Amino acid sequence: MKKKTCHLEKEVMAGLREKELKPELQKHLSECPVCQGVVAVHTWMSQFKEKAWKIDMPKKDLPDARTVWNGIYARRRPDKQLVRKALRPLIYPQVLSFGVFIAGIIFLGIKGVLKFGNIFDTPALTRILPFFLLFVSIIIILIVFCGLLLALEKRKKPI
Amino acid sequence: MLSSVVHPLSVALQQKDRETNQNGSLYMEENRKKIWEEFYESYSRSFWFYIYKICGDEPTADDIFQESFCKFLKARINFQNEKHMRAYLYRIAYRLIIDRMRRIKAEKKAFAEEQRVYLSYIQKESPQSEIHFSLDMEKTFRKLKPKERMLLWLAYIEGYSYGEIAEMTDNKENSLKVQLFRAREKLAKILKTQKLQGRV
Repeated sequence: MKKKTCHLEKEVMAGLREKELKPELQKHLSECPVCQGVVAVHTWMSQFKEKAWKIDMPKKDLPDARTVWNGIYARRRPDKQLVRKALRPLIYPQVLSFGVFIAGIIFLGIKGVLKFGNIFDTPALTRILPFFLLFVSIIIILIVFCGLLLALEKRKKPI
Repeated sequence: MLSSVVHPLSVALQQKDRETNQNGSLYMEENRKKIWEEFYESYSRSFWFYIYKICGDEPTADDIFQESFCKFLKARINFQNEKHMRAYLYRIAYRLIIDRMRRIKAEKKAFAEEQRVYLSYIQKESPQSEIHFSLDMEKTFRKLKPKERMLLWLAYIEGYSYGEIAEMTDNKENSLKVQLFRAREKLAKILKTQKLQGRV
């Protein structure tokens, strides 16, 4: 089976990087095809890197560290904001449904009182009053709704 | 024992964005930035150059370069030292490059375009012989598959050991040795052919 690795490969590579091969390694090189291949490839790769660096890198303008840092962290921030924005529409119908429920309770309660009470015992007033009270309930709901929205906006923390 | 010794950047990167007092969080942020800047200044150019040589395409290299650093900054890992950090960065780049290469099919077309741009840009600035020599080497390197290029680069240019490269590429060390041997043999064969043709 063809030899794929050599126990001295690491030393040969280290020697090549330092540009100084010990005599015993040089002697080994003349006998070992694996290490000969390593030397040939390493030499070629180093030359390639050196020449290509001289040609490619001077014209290349990379962003500086601060720009990269700020860019990456700016990409992170919208995630929290997006989550908050996505959840916001769910809150509005919740508040609205709660308000309508309260208004309904108030309306039914007042209607019940009117049915049994004596104070507002005139026909015209009896007809108008429920609508008037419903109107007032809606106003109250809208005020509560706006108040809740303002409270939610104030609760938003800076990222 | 080693796990208790961590690199300052690792500690800085691992800190969550807790809401401490304003001065504390500002100091932490500045400390992280400073460490990050030193690391980036030291290794960014050689890292970009590596990606560019493997991909062969500047826009792709720019994308992978940015994405690698993005993933690197988001990682929550105990780095032992700067070499470990670099190895992790190369590991991220390896996965990104493999994903991207699978999508890029027209690599030969890209190289032809790259060659044209190469020649037109540097013709005035470098001696003619140097351009041709460099292009020949570029062509030779492109004859290898992206994975082969990566393995050879990591082993012979960056100087990583078999174990380190195996960890970066999610391979077992033994299979990595075989792959590296094959890549080396392939390149050696190409160089031998070129030598016989009198091109080297």
